[in-house]
Amino acid sequence: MKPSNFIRKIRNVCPPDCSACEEACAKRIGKLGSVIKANQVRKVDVYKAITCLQCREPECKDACPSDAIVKDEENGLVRVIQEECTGCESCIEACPYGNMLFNSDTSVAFKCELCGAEPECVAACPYGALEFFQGGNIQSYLGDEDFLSPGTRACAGCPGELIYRFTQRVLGSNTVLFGCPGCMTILMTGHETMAGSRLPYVSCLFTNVISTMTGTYRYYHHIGKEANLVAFVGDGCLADIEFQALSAAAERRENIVVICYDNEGYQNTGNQMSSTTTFGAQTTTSPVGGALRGKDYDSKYMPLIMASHDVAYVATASPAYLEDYARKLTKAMKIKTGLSYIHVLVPCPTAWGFPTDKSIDISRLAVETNYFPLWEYEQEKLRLTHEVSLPQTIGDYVKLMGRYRHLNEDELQQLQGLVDKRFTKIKALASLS
Amino acid sequence: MNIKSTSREIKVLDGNRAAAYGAMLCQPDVIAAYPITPQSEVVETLFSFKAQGLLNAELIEPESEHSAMGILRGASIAGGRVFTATASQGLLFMFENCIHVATQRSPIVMVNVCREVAGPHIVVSGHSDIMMTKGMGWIQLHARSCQEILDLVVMAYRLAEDPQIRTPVVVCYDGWFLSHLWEPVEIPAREEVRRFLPPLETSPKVDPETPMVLGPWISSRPATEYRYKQSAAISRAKVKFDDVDKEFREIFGRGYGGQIEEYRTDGADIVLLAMGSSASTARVAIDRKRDEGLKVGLIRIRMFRPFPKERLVAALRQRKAIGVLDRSVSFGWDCGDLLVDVKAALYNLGTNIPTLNFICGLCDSDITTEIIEGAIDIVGQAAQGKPCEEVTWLDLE
Repeated sequence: MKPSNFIRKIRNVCPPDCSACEEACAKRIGKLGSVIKANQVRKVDVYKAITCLQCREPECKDACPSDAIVKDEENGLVRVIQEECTGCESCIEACPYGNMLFNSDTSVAFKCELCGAEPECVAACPYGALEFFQGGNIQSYLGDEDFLSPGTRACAGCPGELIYRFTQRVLGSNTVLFGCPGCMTILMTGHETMAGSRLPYVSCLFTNVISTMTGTYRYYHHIGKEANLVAFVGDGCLADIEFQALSAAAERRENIVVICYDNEGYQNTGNQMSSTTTFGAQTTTSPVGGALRGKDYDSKYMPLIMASHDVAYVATASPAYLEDYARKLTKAMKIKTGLSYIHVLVPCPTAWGFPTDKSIDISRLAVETNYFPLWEYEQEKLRLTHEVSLPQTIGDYVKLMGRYRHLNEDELQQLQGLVDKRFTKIKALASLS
Repeated sequence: MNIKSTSREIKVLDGNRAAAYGAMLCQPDVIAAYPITPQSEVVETLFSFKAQGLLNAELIEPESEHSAMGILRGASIAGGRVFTATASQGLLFMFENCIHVATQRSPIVMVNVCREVAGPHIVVSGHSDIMMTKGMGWIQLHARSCQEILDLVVMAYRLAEDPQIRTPVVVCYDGWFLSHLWEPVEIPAREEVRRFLPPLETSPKVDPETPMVLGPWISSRPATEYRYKQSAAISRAKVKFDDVDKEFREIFGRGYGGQIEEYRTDGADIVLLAMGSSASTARVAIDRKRDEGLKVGLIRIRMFRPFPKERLVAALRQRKAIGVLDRSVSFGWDCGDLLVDVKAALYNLGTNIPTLNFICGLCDSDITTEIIEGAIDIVGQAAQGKPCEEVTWLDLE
């Protein structure tokens, strides 16, 4: 079955007393009220909009004794067939989220049916908190086969595993993966005779990933063979110890794809600082104590450094914006004129200190605060691929993580300044295009 | 520059150009090399071959030797024949990759133009670079002439690519003394080389059509097994080198004796051991001493790794004294590197043949015939039972 379209909340910004989504919905539906709820629970300070998730396996549908609820094959929409509904209300009890409602006038159930794919609530939200997510769009980038072996030895909540699995599905079978010691090694190499993936994988040293790929690429080129040669390696490798070789391969226009999963530190070896660790962040080599307050200088901004090489393609990507990533990776695969570099920010629950269910929220916040803007660079043009209309402050981002717990107001301001400075630069480059 | 397909030709070449000719004749698929004195002419000559259409290889000048060896790794695991050249600091900089490709059993061929390693600032001949990397799991061969450099490069591929060996080979020659020495060199015909060295067939190869993991995590027991097999494969190169040398003679009309080359050792009471270009000089000294009536001969170590223990012991068994010329120092042993290995090899003989060490030719010092004759005189005294210093540093101020 194809993935569903649905409305999802992408930002935790609903202020108290806002009901713009409800009002827009009610206007559309009429006297029945709205099928989206600005679900405001003042006691616990929770304000968020909620509506039908168009479940993959809808419990409402299962509960319906008269087969009046169907799920569309094409777009995943869960619909109530009014003529079939007997008004038994089983579905209303079955929905775990309270998103099935009852029309007492006609005695039939009703729910969010996505306004014919142009949801009013999404358009009405003044804070950009809602998104009409179209699962089919991502699906179009994915092959059928999931190459990654079942099970994972990554830490709970690691979005790196998600990105690695997703990357392989986009790349498809005509691929050779290259990696080195790092967090994802545990998924990549396998153990003894058990492979980590059904794609070929070349295990490299921390220092010879790019050169090894270059050699394989050059030999394939020599014998007229074409394949996706893709590095999936961390920031400690690419931004630090492998940087010299990466820079040279970029200059030589080697036709390889390099994906950096950036978890802002040497997380595989227990959270030591790397050159992409942010200012202020606490790591084991930038500790916080009486005399030290985390990393006391800013990070190296790898994607822009790579763009400065004028390579074929450079992009940033996030686990919270998979469609954006899939589009960029697909573009990188098709490039035949040189190196492609994609820098994916992969929040690390273990080292950054946040709950394991917050990985995607934090990934998204990194983008929504302009801390990690999404852009792509090709043919000497830089373009923002996701404009943030109402950016949140860096404070909203750092407060969710233990590694920034010690930051005082001054340090927070300094970090905001660094974020603003970097984003201003990106905006300026984008304006040249 | 040109190269004949079916007939041989004599050209005057220096050692670096001879190495480049050797590499070109073997038709590698991928060459990656970073220039470094005194090796740069190898890289330059290969680029010039490519420019003239004599070399159909992917040719890369990477940003470092480290990447050069990484590139060879990537090409080799995909099934390509590869080549590089380096010297001194370059060899040290690529060291970790050298170990990586050796444990991975990649049939890589490299030349190392032996040069002292830095500190103080010295860009001069010496064996310290190659001796510091002797444990990296490569087969290590040493030439004494420009002709032998070319021939060894060709022979090296036969060893590296042998399915029973599958180990990288480094062909060494002395910086300046050979790299920049011009000599007549016979260039074999392409057809002959093709006959001697068939196209490379490796398996498995990195290929999306046959997915596999290259370099999985493995536990200690299979890893130990892996080390054992690597060690055994390297050892198999000893006898194979003797065979390859014979086969080479059959096709090209020249041979060198395989692992070791003996010169006037018949009936010799004392034997001098040398490696590299000094062995050529030593022949003159041996001739002079033979003319004086001294029963002296020369054994040249051509294969330093694996160490030709068996053949060396057999050749030294009946001698009264041995002299070892060393162009490097084994720090911590207070002697030369070759001496350490020679004495370890001789232990099983059970007899105590006086074995003296002469450390000479460091940092570009000449090893003249006079120096060697002086060394022979000292070994001669040891053969007569006179007490001698075990280690003598020549050229000390």
